[in-house]
Amino acid sequence: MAYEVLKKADLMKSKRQLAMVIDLNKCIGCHTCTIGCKRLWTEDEGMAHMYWNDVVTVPGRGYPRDWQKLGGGYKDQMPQKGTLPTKADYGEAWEFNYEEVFFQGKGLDTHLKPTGTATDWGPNWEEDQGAGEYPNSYYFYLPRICNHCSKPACVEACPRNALYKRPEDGIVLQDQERCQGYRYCNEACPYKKTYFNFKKAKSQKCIFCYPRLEKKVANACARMCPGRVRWVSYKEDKSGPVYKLTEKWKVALPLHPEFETEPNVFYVPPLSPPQYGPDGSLLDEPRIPIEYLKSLFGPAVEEALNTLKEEMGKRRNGGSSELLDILIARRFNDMFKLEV
Amino acid sequence: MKCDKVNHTKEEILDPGSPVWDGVKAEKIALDSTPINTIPTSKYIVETIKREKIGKVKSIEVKSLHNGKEIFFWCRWKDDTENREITDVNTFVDGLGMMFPMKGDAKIEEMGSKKEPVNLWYWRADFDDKPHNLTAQGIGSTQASEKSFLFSKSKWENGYWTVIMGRPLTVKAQLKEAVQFKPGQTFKAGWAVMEGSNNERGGAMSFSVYFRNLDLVDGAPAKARKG
Repeated sequence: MAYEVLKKADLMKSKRQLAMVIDLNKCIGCHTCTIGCKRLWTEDEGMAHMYWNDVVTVPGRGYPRDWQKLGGGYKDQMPQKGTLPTKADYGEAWEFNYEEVFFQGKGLDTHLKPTGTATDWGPNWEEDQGAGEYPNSYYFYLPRICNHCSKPACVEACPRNALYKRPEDGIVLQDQERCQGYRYCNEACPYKKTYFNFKKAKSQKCIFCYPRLEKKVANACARMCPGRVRWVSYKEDKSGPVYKLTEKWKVALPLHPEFETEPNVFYVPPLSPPQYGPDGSLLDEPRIPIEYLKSLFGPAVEEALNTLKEEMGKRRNGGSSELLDILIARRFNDMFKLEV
Repeated sequence: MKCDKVNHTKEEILDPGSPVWDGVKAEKIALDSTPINTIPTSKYIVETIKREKIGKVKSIEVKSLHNGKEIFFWCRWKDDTENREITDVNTFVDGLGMMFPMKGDAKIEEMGSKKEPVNLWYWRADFDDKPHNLTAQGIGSTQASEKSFLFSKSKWENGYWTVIMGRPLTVKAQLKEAVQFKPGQTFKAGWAVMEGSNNERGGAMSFSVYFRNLDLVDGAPAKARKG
């Protein structure tokens, strides 16, 4: 059968768009999402460094290391050159001296330690480091998956049209038969969320758990989350939580909107306690600098935080708030609306 | 170029060090960088790769023989770096492609069209000498066949790759996916080289710009005719 070369615009079209909102005020950095994803999708050989879902402490250099500086995405609608990360930026898996500690009778005088070349990076390398000076130091957790963008740079980049958006739900998939491992997608994705499989010499990425969604079961990362931080529904569905959080209440924002790929994963930005002044008094400045949040989520973050504060105030005064009812997520299943 | 008939076995001809090739005249084919800035399937490539930066290998020497059953192409090009394995996310391997129009007047730079499909033989240094057979009906349309009847032997030595690729003259199981050779007839062939150390892959490479005629000699083997 001859292969039909479709236009990029057709590969990027979808009737509807499944989307996710992640509340950074509720994420406790437990990595259950990461483990749920890893156990389900990326345990095969060649996939060790692949974390389709990862959680990092920010501010930080992230995973792969310095991904925010590797380019890609668009500027004024034009594709931007990206740089490929290296194995060292993912960090090689450590080997440990299990044999020595457990089986050679040295358990009392030697301890478990990595053997061979020391790795100097890995997923979640900077756990709880953050930034700022005590007592005004700060950090928060940032879970990341593929953003299943409306203008995916990976789809734009692949000369073989191996990447496409599913017309029925906008999930970005990578046809493993068409992929030849050229890695233009890895270069072009500004979020560095396609990964190269060394065993198969092909690129692979988050599939938004589409086989689960087809059975009306939410994504593993969302369903495993003990903090109930993730909502999943169609972006256009006005009765769904994603629409309400992004469009109605405007408290959920894309990460790095300046990359111009139009992500479909949105974040409720983190509120933070006030900073301390030199004399120990509380200042009128949040602990997490607003400029830092703007650098991640764009200028709209200020209004989103104000809305959150206002709605929290309403509840504190005995009033009701649809927004807070959604964010509290008393019933897990209300977080997912997978049918239109 | 001429593809003489010889009386040797596949094993004898497929060996890059075989004396079978010694008396065969090599044709030196100039290569130029592909017109990467017109590739219709990747705006990313068009905008971010400069044509003058790709196409590091500027020429290739080729010879061809057949033994009445199989056809062979001996290809040799200068390459100071042997890139045999993908050692990191940002490393690429050396590759060699051959293109044969299967019908009509296919254009090499357009990789054929719907009406004029081309057959591609794709050798890559990490394919363990099992080249892939592909068809294309235009840029971006290449499709690998489920099965490849191609074989190769390769070596990198003293700054040169020598790759011998071959296949049975005809592959009845792939009438629509593979060029069918017949002694006594003239075919067309083109070449492309991907230099791994220059990140060449997926459209970024050097190529022979136009097809060369390939005359398959029928009748007595070359040596016998000379004698």
